[in-house]
Amino acid sequence: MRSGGGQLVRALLSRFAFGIVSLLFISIITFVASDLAPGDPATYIAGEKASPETIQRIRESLGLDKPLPVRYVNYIGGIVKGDWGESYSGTHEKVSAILGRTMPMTLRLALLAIMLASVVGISMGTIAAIRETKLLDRGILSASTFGVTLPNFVLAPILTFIFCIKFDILPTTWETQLRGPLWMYLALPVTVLSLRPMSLLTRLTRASMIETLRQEFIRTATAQGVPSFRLMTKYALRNAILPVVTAIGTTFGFLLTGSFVVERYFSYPGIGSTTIEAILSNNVPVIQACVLVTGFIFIVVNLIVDILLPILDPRIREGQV
Amino acid sequence: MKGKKLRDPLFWIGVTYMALLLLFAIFGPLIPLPDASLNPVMDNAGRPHLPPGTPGALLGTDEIGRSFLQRLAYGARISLFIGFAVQTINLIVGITVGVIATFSKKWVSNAVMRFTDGMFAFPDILFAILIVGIVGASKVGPLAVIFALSISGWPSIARLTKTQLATLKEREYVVAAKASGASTAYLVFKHLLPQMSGIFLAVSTVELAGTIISESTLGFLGIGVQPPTPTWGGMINSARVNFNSYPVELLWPCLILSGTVFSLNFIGDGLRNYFDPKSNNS
Repeated sequence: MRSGGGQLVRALLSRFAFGIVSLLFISIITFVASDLAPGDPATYIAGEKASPETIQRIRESLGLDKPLPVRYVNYIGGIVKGDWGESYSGTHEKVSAILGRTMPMTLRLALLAIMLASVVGISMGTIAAIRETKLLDRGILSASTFGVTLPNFVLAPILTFIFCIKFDILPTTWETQLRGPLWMYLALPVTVLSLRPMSLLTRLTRASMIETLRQEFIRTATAQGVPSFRLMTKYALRNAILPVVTAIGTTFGFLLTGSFVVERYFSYPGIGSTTIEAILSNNVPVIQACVLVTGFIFIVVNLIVDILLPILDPRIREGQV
Repeated sequence: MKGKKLRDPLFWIGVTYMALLLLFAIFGPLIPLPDASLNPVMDNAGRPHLPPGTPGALLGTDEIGRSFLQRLAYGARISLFIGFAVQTINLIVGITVGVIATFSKKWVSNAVMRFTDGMFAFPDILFAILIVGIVGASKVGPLAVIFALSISGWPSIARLTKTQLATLKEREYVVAAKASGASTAYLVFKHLLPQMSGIFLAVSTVELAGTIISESTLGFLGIGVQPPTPTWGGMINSARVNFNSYPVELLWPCLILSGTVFSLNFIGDGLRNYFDPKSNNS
């Protein structure tokens, strides 16, 4: 027992170290990439018509004349203090303000989508597993295959056509002045975003449940007359859920990818549409910050999932697996 | 085993669709236009929003009067070219990394696989965005997109190679060949890789679908291959703007893209069941 605990701590520490290395890796990649990007920050700030001397002065005051590693350390130092630089475009808004405005929007979308996906996916997967090879199972399996394969930007117009044009009950896009309850504006984006993770979780829960239901302790419990609902939820699902929890973490990646498309399709003012606008207008500080933040969230979510697993599964906690 | 593959109707539907798509991609752009204003590539002020069934533009024209049929054919060329190119690169890089990870010293192998896992877990669109950020959105062509999508594509092949090799290299005939003095390179090229070709084909087919979706996603977001070159994703994006008035225009690119993606998945599943019947329901 004791040695098992020590092993677990070591495993968690090594996982944590891997998370830190990943964070460093993504920050270096992002920084070098932004450095290679066309456009010179000093020229942007001074304006196109500025004299070479002015540009040179700004470059020195920003520390842009320093070598790359020094600038990287300065950039990271700035981020730690909450200074992400300024946007090139419009009113030169602080990047931190842009992130503060758009990040909560995207997180709300992503969290609602993963919640919907988990609830529906785990239920559907469980039902399919209980009715294995029956018609209901086949139906759920086909629907989930369809859901994994169908691109977001194909599903979005289909739903828009049904709910916004045919029945006219939901708004087509986000508006700065919402003319109705918030859920109406969130319904379609959340549904579209959740489809792929929902289908993946359905398939995974189904596979994992089928495997669990074949095990002996389930048969024993059935023979002892444990009520079937209790048997499914407390005995079977609890054992089958582990790979599903891991997958909820990894599907978060699909959510981030998907949110670029969904936000753009529904003009939702989150970090996805901000990133795309920044790319189209060559707004390097904003691209840099958005990619970095998205990568950070992704790494942190996966880290949390890996730390949560031992809490859910005593076998891992005691170092037996 | 053979009969199983041949009896799977979905596999053959997929093969038929892809064969037709390939022909469409090769010959579609050659369909003569009765009227230069229908030109699918040029930015021109032709007759916009012609309905489907118009002579010369069977599926109608888009918002600046370009024929949908020919634009879809050009889009098919782009999607298939990028898809095949990315899969080729993924196979070469992925197999190389997998072989290195299997046959090198333990610490090298661990480092390589850790890096691979890290890359595998990362959302591909972030890499694509970085690449496009470097190149500048207005200058993105097929090569930049191929590069962007291969960076995140090879790790799955590397992992597959590693797990396949781990079991294969313990097989008796491999151990026997090794005992009789065969070099690692000989083992890999003569005995191991040929054994895995079926699985690679199956996996690459499914991944090809993923690559085509990613390419279309970039096109849809406006950061893929740039206009005036027609791409399915780009067509979906511009049809979206006119969706309320001309919903049918969104139908064409969505249909052809979904058909492609489903067909490739059908083919991939069929191939996998044929080559590796054990991994049936994963």
